[in-house]
Amino acid sequence: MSSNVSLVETVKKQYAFKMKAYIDAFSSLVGIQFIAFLFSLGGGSSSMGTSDGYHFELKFYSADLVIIFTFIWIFVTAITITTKPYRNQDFTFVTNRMSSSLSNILFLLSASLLGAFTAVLSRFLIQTVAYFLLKEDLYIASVMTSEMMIGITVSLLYVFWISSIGYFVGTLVQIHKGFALLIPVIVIGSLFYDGFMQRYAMLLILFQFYFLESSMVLFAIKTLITTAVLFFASIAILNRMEVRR
Amino acid sequence: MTFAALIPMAVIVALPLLFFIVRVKKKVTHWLLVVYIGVLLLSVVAAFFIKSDEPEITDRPRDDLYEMLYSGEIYAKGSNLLLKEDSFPIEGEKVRVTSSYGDESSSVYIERKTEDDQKMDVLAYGSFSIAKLDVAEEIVLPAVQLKDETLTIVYPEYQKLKTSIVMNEFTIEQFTGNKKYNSEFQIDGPILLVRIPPDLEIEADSTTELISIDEWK
Repeated sequence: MSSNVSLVETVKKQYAFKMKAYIDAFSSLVGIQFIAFLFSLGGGSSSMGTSDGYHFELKFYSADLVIIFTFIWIFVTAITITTKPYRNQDFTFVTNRMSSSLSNILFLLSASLLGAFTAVLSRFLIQTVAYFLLKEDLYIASVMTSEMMIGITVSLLYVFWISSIGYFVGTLVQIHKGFALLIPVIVIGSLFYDGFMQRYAMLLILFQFYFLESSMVLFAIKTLITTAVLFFASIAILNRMEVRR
Repeated sequence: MTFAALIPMAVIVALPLLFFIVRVKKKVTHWLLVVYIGVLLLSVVAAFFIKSDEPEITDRPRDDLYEMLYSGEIYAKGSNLLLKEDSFPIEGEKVRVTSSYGDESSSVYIERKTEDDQKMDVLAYGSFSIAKLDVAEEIVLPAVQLKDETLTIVYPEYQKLKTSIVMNEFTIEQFTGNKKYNSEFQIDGPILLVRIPPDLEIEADSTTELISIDEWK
């Protein structure tokens, strides 16, 4: 019981510490979302056409790119916090691998929440700038409050899920540096191999399992279970490592 | 726009974040975050003042303008494609048609009425859509006038049409299934149909080609 309490207390302290110590991760979030915002102002998937006496131009605006850039940011952030300099910061506290990992997961959850919230909200910044500064006449797809809630929740689930992938990859690299080479080789190699074999890429099938799910409940179950499994695996692997390696 | 209720929600989520951010050491990062979230929330408010149209998507199959034209039934069945109608009283027995269409000649379709109502009707037909949005109202149509037994058609200059659509994000579309836009353009027309009394004599100068649709019926 007392060990449980001390674990909770340690995790709390470490989490509070990490929210301050890793604050620079959030400045990179602002930076990466700003870059995505600038790209989005170009009008995502624009197209144009000409016919007798007419020239048509079509622009689509959305925060899709901002969300995708947020995926990249959380993936890199999750890998970064598994590296040695970050792990060594934990030893300013009486700690173990479990409390360190749990506080990392809480930090990633907070980062995911902030990332998802700002990414979805950036839609309004894009449309405001497009209208007031770029003087665009806009057709705006209506968005109900419930749909905004769906957007934020789903973005959060995606971002947190990707953070678990990043954390797992980072953990594997901590076991052996060879994984830093092996994982990209497997990912890129499988794409080339599937292309060479003229079949649908396994990686795409894997992603479709999540991205093409149209039931909100099933999607939440899929992402949450995968996230839990990946974090659990990461904790198990890190627990097997020496306390300070 | 129905995101009115979004503002309190956004403020509720943002306030604890802002509180957390400002109470810790005031590094540049903190201020950067405060400003960024502040700008995002302001943009939500600013979005209220955007005058925009709700895109009206129509998935119904559009009538084929040229199929109707070549079957000679454009007047009878093409009301969905009618963009503009002008009517002029006829005083003489002959009308001459002239037009300005850059360096090229233009085609004008002629249909004779069954009854002599002493009127000449000029009808513009067309179908214009971008990404399934009907943009026909934005098209500047040829100006037509009848004066001194001469029907003058002035085609507009080269027209540029720009359409911008703010779409919902894929994290919303994945579950609402509303992804209804595509990048298709449909540009049919505009064509001019001139309906004249049965006995009116009509001729055109070198700028215009008159095509009778009565033979196609």
